Amino acid sequence: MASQQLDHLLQQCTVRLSVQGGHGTGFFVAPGLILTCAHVVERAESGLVDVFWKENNQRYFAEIGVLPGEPNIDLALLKVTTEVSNHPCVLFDQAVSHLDDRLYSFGYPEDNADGDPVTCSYEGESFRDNSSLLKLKGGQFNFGASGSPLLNRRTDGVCGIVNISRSTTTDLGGRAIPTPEILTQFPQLKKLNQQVHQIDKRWAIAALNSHQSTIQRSLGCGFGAGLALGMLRAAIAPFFHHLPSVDFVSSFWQGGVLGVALALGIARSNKRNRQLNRTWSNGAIVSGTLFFGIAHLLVGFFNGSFSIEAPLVAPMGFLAGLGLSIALHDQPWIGVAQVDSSQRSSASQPVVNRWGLRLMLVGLAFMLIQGIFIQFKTKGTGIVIAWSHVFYEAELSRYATLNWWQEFMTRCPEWFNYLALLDAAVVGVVFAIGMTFGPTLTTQILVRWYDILKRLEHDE
Amino acid sequence: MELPTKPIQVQLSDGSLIRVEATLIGEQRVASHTQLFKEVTTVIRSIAKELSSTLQDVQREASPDKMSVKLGVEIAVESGQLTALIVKGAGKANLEITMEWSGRSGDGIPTA
Repeated sequence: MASQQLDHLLQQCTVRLSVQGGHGTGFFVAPGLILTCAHVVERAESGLVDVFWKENNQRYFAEIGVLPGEPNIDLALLKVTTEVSNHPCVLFDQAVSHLDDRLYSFGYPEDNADGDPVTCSYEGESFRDNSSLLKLKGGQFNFGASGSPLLNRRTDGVCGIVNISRSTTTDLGGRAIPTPEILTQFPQLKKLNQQVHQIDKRWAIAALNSHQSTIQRSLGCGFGAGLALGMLRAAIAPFFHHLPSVDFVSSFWQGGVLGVALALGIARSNKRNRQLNRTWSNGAIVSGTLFFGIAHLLVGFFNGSFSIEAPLVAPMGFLAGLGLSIALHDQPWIGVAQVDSSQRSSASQPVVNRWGLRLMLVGLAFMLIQGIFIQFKTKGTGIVIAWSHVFYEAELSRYATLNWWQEFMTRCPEWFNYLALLDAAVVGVVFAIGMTFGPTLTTQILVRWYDILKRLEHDE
Repeated sequence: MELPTKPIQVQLSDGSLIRVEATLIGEQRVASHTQLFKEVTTVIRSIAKELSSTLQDVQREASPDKMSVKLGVEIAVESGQLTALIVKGAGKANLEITMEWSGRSGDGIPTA
């Protein structure tokens, strides 16, 4: 599933810095503040540096704000002269890197000045000019890579800034100034960086996404879809309060169970068809159909009306599951929407259009299924099915035995059937929203929970 | 071990840019800067100055009639800075110094 990964977010934090006759890399560490190496900007005329932020394809100017007190420390903090809106900042990680930690870096080397990643691993601590450096192996740092942030993929934080290449022609690795050294040289940066991440949760969410397994994400989908449908159902329940067997609780859990079943059906099988992510995934559709159909039977069974409802409910459940799975199986979209919901800054992506299109598709799928039932059933049964649509049939087949309901059906005009299409579309859209936001919602809950745990730890 | 070489951009005093194959010595600070050729010529001048003062001493003490010095200079980048690298020529020597005496009477072969 395409979700907002840390490597992508790290890229968004980086900028290309150009000075007279050369360039290097820098990255946002706090609002409007860019960290780089002193030797990258040493030739800057009148202290001004040209900043290119690839993420929104804009150029800015930055002035050299602070240089460390010690001249042999190769660091410089730049301040952007104009406001850069909503840029992400890296998260500094002060933890000691472990030997062989896998690291990721992104910079603007001269052989690919539009941006290039490097992966390497941590070889250990080395010393030079009375300061310690992280020694890196297994990646090629070319001219222009100085000032690149170094992401530790184990701790999900930036553990240093690249300033030396051990060979620009081979993948011998390089050296980096460790984060504790950066924070010692710029003590104000520690607090500023922390303040950013207390408000901006993009990094925390991306870090969690990077580690979430497919099963966790699928459960998130199920949770979101179940919650959304359950809430919709519960909201409708009071309007039927005078009917038998309709109450808030049972409506909630039945709607929830169906939502979870469908979401898990689609999401689970997606794992088996990962290589088909961007094409039709037959496994997802079959699995979604089965899960949804079986969930309908289970709901009927627990209602104690299995034998009455099964002939009606089972085909509906399976058919509805098939339609919904076709509309929803495309997990990458869910991932994309999930990213976008947590990060709306990306102006380059037509988020709303994609979102709107998919919601419309799911709504249409629900409507189509409803329309098929209406067309192929007699008027009376059609209304029952129409109004009961995929989630209400269990109770409403019982309502049919009530006098007022039968009277209502016979008096009801033909066109009334088609109101059900609108109703179905609403349910479809709610389901899709629930499934889309589910993983983000669970991640957000986890992030807040981690925050609380950390604060408690800190207080102790 | 042979040192790796790489074409790098160098700016001459008149502002024109050329690409020079330079030898990379050791680890490099990796900001991408256009190097100034003046840094090399300055080093060459210093080398010439250093050698000439030594050769003047030799001239005074040993009085050869003719002296020649041959040295190979390669352009190198060290710690991100351009520099000149004195390299071995065809033989084994970095510096090939030739002194000649024409054998006039009185001077003889120097003892030191």
